[in-house]
Amino acid sequence: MKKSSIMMLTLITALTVTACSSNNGGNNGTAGNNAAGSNAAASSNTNAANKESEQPPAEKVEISISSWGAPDERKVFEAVLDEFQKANPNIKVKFIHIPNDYTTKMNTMIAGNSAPDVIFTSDGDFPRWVKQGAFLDITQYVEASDKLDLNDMWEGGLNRYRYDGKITGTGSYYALPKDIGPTVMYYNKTIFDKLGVPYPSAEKPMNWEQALEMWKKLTVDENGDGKTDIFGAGPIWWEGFVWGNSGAVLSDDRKQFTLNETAAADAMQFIYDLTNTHKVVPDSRALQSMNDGQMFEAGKLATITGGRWMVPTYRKLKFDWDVAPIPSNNGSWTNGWSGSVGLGVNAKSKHPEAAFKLVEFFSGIEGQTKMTELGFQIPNFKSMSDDEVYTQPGQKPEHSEVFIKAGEGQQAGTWTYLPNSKWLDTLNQNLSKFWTGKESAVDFFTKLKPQVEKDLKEGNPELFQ
Amino acid sequence: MSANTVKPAKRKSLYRSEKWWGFLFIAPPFIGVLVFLLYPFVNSLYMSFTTFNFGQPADFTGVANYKRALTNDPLVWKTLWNTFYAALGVPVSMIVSLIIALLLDRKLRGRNFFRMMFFLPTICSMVALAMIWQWIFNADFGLLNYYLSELGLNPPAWLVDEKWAMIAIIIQGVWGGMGVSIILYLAALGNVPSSLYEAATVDGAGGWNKFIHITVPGISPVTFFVLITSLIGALQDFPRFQLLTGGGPNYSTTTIVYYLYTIAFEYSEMGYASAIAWFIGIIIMFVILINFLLSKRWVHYN
Amino acid sequence: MSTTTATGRKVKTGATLANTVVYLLMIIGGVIMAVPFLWMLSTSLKPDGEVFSYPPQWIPSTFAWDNYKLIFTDAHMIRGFFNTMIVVIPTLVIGLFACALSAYAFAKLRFPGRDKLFMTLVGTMVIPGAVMMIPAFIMFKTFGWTDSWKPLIIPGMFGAPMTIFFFRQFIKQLPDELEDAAKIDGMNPFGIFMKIIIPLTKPALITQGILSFNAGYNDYLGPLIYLNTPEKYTLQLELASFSSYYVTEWTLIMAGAVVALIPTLILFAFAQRFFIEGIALTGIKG
Repeated sequence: MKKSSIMMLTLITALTVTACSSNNGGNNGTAGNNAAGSNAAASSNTNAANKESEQPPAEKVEISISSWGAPDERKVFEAVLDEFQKANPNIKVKFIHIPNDYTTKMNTMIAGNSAPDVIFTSDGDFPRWVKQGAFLDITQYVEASDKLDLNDMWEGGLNRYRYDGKITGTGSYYALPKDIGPTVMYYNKTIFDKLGVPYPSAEKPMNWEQALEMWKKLTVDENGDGKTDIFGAGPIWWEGFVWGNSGAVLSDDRKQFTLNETAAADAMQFIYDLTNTHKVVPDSRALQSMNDGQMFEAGKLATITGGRWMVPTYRKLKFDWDVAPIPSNNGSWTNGWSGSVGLGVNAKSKHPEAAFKLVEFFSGIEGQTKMTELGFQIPNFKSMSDDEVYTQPGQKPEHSEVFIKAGEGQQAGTWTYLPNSKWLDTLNQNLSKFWTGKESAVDFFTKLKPQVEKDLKEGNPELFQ
Repeated sequence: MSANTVKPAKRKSLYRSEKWWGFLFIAPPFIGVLVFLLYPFVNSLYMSFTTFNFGQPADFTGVANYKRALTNDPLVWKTLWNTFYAALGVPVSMIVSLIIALLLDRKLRGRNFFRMMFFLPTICSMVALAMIWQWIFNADFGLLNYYLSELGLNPPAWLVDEKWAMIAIIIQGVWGGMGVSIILYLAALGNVPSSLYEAATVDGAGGWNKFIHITVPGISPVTFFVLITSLIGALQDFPRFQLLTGGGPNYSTTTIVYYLYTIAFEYSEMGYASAIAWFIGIIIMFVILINFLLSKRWVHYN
Repeated sequence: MSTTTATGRKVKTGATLANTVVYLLMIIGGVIMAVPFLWMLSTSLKPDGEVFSYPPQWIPSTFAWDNYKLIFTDAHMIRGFFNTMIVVIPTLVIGLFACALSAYAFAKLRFPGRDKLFMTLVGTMVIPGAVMMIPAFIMFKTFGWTDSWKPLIIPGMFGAPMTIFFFRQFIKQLPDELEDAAKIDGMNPFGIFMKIIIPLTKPALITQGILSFNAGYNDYLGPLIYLNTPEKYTLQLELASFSSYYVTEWTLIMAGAVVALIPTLILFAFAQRFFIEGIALTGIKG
């Protein structure tokens, strides 16, 4: 019994080690060679394809891609894939739709070396997976592409999918954005009208003082029961306020936690006061199941922070609404984070060129046009932002240019900073204590600093080497 | 207590081949374990001694992960404590379930309907239930606090209050977990020989006496089963916690398995997560072994 | 099969008061159990904007029956249901048999190392599954079983430790005399198992049958990890598509949950008469 288990252990050791070391393979450059050979059998099918395509006769390859999404999003995705296959008749795309818990599924597939050729990734999963070696370095492909004008693309969107072996934001390209979702302040025009408050400007962000004054006017107890019925603002997305006051969460090299420094701490203190002193923002009590989005939809919030992705949902609302910039104390448009999902090529793909073509298609003009038409996003390209495909005249919101300006200025969220995000969990878990506690922001975050920095160090040792 | 006085140890085997029949009968689960479980088991045990993080080659670091868990990670202890705190739901649930099973065992009109009601949470989608419970526990707009305030009480903020969040989750767990225990108890109650009750009635025993001397020992094998499986379940529980509170506020509802899941899949530290998994596995095994030893005193098989 | 129950056999003799109390308790308990489900039902019928109105609104202002239509058009509920049945039923039938057979051996047969082997089996339950998910996936991949139902069906056919444990507890309680008589008649252990043990453990079998069915029916993680082809998706995967990355469709999730309850409820209602009545070993002189 004992002997056999030791043997088993040795065997498994061997297996694990092999699996791990092979994870490091999959370089770029020679990738094209892999595609040859394996699919010779399929070449008889390509006659029909040759008529439409000007490329030399290529073998028909099949690549796979996965995504998540509700039925509506899924339809958009499938429409883009159809167009891609029409344009590239010798590439067949197998679509794996993962209804929910995408990260769990993809974690397993990546670890098991069976991830699809094109990996769809949220910007939050990207740093972890890129460190695991899941993505192919596509820098050469990107630079060689005639379909991607990098100068015409939002920097904040592109950079978050770069990685230099330590941090994201610089270095080689490992994925391209499918979209970016900047964040803005949605407001319920009906409430503003009812209370006689002027609409916020769509041109430039208000400073905090102006914002506070506006929110105070919008906070009312309609039935006089002592409970606020309409709050001026939904929960503040604090990162934007820190940046909009010229503060930072981590130092540029991401080795230090800087939320306790004056500019950042002032911002946190201001947000704290919005809830606890001015009471224009609902506290956490009111915000668990009935989250801010639902409160806004129910007319209990006059303004709310939200991303571009809420537009299709909000178009169904019964009241009138529009968008305005998130307040920013220094007047900058780095007043919030933009979300994004990206597409990368699986480092182990047998058809990296075909896979990159699909990535390029999604990220490039063709895919962007199709997806923007269907209403889900703002386009990757600055040049497309005046286009009616995007502005969709006659549809809400009236001031859709706010998204464009926000998209230009806003950066990636803190969850994209580093492969290991335990530091952020520590921060977030402790934040609830700060929001409901009595300590000043400076004191609180100074005390928290060593704990967060311990996590930074333990989780991302390569940073400190 | 029973007419059956022959103790198994004294029985003579009536077949020479009995042991072979035995081995044959238990072969399927062991084949299943060998084929489907051994590799994942050994692999995770091996990983627990390495720095495996899905990416870079894993270094063998001996007991470093275990040392880190035990000496340099306060969250391990905090979440372990949370786990045992949450397991307080087990005895509560067992007692309530037994009472309900006893009531449902009576020949009453409509008992089928009531049995169904208690079983409903077991068969319902956990995601949908978690959403409903979040809303029920919502501090200002939730159902529970609406009615509690109507009664003039000043209810807590439940899931967002560090002191109350775990209590809320325990309440939800008892509510949702009773169904299984109840039907197991019902099966057990049906298995207690009615001749025993008849004999006791003839002897003039009262209801309580019959319960203590016939029912309790009669269902003790199933009680033991419920205890062991509930303990294992509670000590490994986490999806509920993830859905209801995300582990917060301030890690007050993060169980140890939830924490190791986060380490494995959010922080990609599979080696470290495996070490914690084996650590908690050993604790659970210890708890079970103690219970098996103690069971000789209170579990009666005939 | 007798219809007497363990503690309820004296109901005839002036137990009206007791019954009233029991009814009262049952009704209170039933209401507590029912509230979340009534809310689920009510939400599933609400128009979009009404889910969170306050004070709580039990009856929707208009009944949005469309929610129920939507779940059938937006997700392949029927296909998902049949796929789930394909996954659940073979495991259920064969797995239960395997469990009962080995439980009988653990409970009644004598062979060396019996109790240690049993503890080993129970011991396999103590390691949290999270850390074995990926090794298991890699293993099934080398078997060539990914994107198929096999990883969901085949392992369960060999029996589950928890179910074996339950049957063992049950079978251990059966009096030995029954078997001894059969042994003297020359019946072999398999014959005893089939002719004596199985009929006597029917309530346990049906109880565990329901629990296993329910576990398989509600399994989400397994199908999520192993299946890639939409045509193979089980019901739970179909239902999961209503809460996506950004948008949670409360009304549809609730409507889906209500519909998904129905098959298990029907099964439960049918099985009730078997496992509840019990056989109570009547007719067996202990």
